[in-house]
Amino acid sequence: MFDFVIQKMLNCKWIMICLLIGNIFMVSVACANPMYTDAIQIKSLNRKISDYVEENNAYPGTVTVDAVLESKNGAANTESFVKARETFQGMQKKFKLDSLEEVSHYYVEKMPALTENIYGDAQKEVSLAIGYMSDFPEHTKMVSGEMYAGKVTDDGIIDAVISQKGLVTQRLILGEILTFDDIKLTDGNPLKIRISGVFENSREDDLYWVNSPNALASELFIDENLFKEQLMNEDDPQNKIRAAFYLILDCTQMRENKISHLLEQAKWYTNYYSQENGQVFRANFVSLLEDHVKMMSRVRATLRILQVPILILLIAFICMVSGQILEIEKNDIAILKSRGAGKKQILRIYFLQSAVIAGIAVVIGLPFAALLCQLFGSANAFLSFVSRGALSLRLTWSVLGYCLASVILCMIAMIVPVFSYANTSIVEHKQNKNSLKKKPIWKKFYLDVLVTAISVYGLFTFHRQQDTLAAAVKKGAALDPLLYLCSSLFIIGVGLLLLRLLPLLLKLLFRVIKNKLDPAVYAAFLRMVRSFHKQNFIMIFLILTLALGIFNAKAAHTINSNEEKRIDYQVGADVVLQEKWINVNEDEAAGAGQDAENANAQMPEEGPVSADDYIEPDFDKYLTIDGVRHAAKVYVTDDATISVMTDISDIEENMESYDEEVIKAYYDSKGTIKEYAVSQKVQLMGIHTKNFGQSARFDTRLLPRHWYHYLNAISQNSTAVLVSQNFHDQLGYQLGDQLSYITATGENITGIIFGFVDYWPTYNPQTQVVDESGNETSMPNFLIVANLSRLQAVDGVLPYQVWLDVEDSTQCVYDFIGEKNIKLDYFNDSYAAQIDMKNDPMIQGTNGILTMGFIVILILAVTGLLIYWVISVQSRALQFGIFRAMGMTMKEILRMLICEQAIITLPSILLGVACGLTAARLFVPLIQIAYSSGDLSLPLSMAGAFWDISKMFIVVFLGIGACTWMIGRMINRIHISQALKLGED
Amino acid sequence: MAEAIIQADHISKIFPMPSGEDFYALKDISLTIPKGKLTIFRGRSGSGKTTLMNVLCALDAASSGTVLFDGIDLTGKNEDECSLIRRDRIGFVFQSVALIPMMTAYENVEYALRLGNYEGDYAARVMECLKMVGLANRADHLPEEMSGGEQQRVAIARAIAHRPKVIFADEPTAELDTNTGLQVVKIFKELVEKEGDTVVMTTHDVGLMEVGDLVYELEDGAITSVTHNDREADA
Repeated sequence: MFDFVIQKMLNCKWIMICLLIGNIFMVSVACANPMYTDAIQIKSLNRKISDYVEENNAYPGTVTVDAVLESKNGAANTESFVKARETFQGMQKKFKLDSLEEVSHYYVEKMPALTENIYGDAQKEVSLAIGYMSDFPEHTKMVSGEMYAGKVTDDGIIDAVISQKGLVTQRLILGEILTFDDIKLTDGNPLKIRISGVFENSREDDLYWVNSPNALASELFIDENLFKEQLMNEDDPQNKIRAAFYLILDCTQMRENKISHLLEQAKWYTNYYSQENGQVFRANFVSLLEDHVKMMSRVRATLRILQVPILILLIAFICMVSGQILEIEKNDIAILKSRGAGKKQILRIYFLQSAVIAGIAVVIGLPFAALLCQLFGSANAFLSFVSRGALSLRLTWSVLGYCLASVILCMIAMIVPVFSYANTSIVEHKQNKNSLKKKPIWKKFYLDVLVTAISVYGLFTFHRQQDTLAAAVKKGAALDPLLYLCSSLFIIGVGLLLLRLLPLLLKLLFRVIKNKLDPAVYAAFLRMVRSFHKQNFIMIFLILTLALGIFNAKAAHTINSNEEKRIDYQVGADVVLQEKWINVNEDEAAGAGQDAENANAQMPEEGPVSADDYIEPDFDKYLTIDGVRHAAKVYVTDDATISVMTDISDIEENMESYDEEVIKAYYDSKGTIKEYAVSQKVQLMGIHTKNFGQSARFDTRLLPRHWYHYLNAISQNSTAVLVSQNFHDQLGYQLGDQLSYITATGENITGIIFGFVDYWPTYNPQTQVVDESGNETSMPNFLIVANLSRLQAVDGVLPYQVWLDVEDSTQCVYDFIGEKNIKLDYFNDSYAAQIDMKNDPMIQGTNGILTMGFIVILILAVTGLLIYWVISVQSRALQFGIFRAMGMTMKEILRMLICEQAIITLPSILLGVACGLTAARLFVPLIQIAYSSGDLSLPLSMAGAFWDISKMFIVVFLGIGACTWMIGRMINRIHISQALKLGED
Repeated sequence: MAEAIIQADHISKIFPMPSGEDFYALKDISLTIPKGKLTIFRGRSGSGKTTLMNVLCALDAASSGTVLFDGIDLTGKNEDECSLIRRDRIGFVFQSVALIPMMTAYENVEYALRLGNYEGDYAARVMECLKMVGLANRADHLPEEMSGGEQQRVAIARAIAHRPKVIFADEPTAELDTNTGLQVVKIFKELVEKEGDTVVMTTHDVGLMEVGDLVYELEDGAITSVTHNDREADA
């Protein structure tokens, strides 16, 4: 039997190869998804970990337990404290990850102390904590002085060390003695400390230092044993002791299969420690892993959804090819049946055949899937790839599951058509052979109308729920599978619906031109008019492939270009940076501000800024950078305000919701409140119009007229301003109105409104705010764009941003900044942001899968066409014999076939394109929602995918050309007398 | 003796065999086909009658010898030239019903007119031919809606429609029952007698030998006997 099947397969090897191609694609497309998500999750987790380190300056593997040991009303909480510590000690085993460090940090909270030093300076009071850290000496090196000694001196003094920063900020000196009246030793005496040395961390990247020595600037460290003996006294603590236990887990071991366990454990510990007073459990990785899990489920869901149409198409392809094989072999089947072969035996033959094909498909398909994954991983945009590091792919159980499922589907698709053939006898088979009257099922039951109706209903529903959809996405939901399904249904439904109408049109056309046609074209037309439904499958297949191809191209381009545009808009220019301006006041406050984390924390929130505080750095240097085309000074502040007159009742009802300083009451002559003025924060932007126009990136379609018109308008008049549209819509301002606003320095400026803008570089008309009850509300943002010269005339020169327009890479800016050692307060690079966006697994996977879908579709379309025509020609050998015998020349027969092809493919192509474009227009805006990040909603613009669609056409036409060539060759080989003989059989 | 429309001189047809030897399907045959007569090639299966007919009607080329068809020498003509000769001058009826499946009876016949560049009213001629074969009432039927005999009659109507010089029929009765077969043969006879057409037919049926005006018997690619059934003489 096996030999028979193999022989049978070899007999029609070409079509078997086509079937195999379909199967290989099926297996590899199905397996590529889990393979890719597995690989991308490793990559993205690693990235998240490094991002976390960068952003938070902390290691994500750090687990912290805070506990307090104290004696209240004579009762110590020793038991619960010890339990907390013991639970902590068992933690590493429970998390099942290796620990990199385990640190215990005990300390007595900051207490006042009096100083006395050998120089006899006046005593001063400082406030310091006393503590110890396990293995402290191993992780430190002394900058000056010496490490603390392990014993109390005869005078009852304990040696302590302090960090370098602590020494400076507390203004202490080495050898100074501090007396803590509120901290008691075991003998009841107050604690006396001598500063014996100044330390720093021995290694820069030491994970031991969960808090850097700088962050521990207000703590003195003493010997562990001394602390335990003299200050802690665990059974009956005389001081309130705080403890922080740190467990640093190895992040590189956090893998998909451990994530849920880690999160569960963390949850359990959080709960466990929250039950005791003063005890807190924190694991840095929780939010990171939760984010990761959420994102991965989104990626997984999205990719799965995007994959479905391709899989459906592949199943259709496999069905079509196996149908064609059966069509060729139906004579053999009928003969086998007439010789007594049972239905079961025939099924067994085809089962064996499909098993062989599926088996080969798995062997080739899995490595091919790996190849596809690498393709995904390097997808930069639709049909565009860059070289990135190779993904580390693994053969996981889920990949094997997908593989098995796809193989089963393939086999079903190959075997199901056999049933109908296995059932018919040779007589029925002859009767059915040329039947022209059989109507396809979808036509009979109006499935096309039904499917279209469902998809249109879906479209309307989704349109109505657009806001809900957007909100769900913001909460981390993936693309709604139904939505994508709707788009596919729409393509299928409309495609079929048009196929229902097409024969009518064709008939009409034929009736009109019938008598003017030459015999070859006449025969082609007639065949197509009469046997149109027989061509349905290839037509719907072509329509689907083209429509899906166009849809994919459009969707991918739109998603990419809208994301790119959003980034451009949000960043404002190629590079936006703000130098750290020398602040005269800050400079006076000693050179302690090197450490960024503390500098930020200590930044005082004081009154209005003043230009006198700052020294403007040189701006012109940016214009000298090789590779920078334009630069602009852009002053941006969120601290400007305007007064908005508000209804009395509205204010009095909601008085408590306003801060006092934002309301100003106006009284009439009798002393009663006439109206209130609410001070409204606005965003103020000062620009030099020409430079701004040259440097900023702005999509000209966002405003009704080119945005240069607006720039030109305000350049005419120094008091002119552009304001956001909501000034008109919500505050009732009109063009030409005077608008007075208060700048960040508190100066009042009056401007004349020269224009209203809906959009402006970096301006977001609305911010989404989550209130206490968790509801999202949108708050309007107000924007005033004024001439920089005018603002500077009033305010002086305040720190401004520099917007740069570069030639083709922002690298020159980095080089320049590095070279000149420029310190920055703000830096944003739209090129880098775009690269980040493209590295996003969601976008990358989407681009990859859409590209892959597109390529698979093209291959299928061309293979489908080839098979269809080859078989069509093969099965009509007798007919060609008749035509030839009747005197048709070879050229005429070829013309007839080309004409038939044109009748099938041209409308299919047109309908496919129409379907694809319509579906894209209707559904892509909704699908795009799933990708829009942040709360900025720019008007969506459909991206043209002209070049990609052209590529598709080129390939399809090449395919048609190849078909024609092959058909020509085949026909040439048909010997008339033989063909006629064949027909006799 | 009537004027000859086809004259074959010493034609042979050789098929190379896989063994390397040549197989002679036709061995040095010379014959004439008279105009306005029904000529029959009779022989068993494999006797070479179909091959002979194919050579005479420009479907196949002889390996040697010459065929003069209506004054045209078929020797050395290429496929396309042969096609043009066939489309104007020859009508075919095949053993298996060889109608074009998606064309109605009417369209099948009309198609021969289209191909043969028939100058005249298509509709009238089609109906005339269909009437001749007794199927005027089935004009709008598709082949699948007709019986084998009816289909073969439509094929005859198609073969004669463009008024070819010769109608070739290769075993036209082989797939039909005796009665239907006789009907078909009757039509051929009528064509010859009433329309003055020339018909060449192959058959393995000994019973049909009576019908032909001229019967060539073939065996192993050679003519073994020639029989003249001279009707005029009978009358």
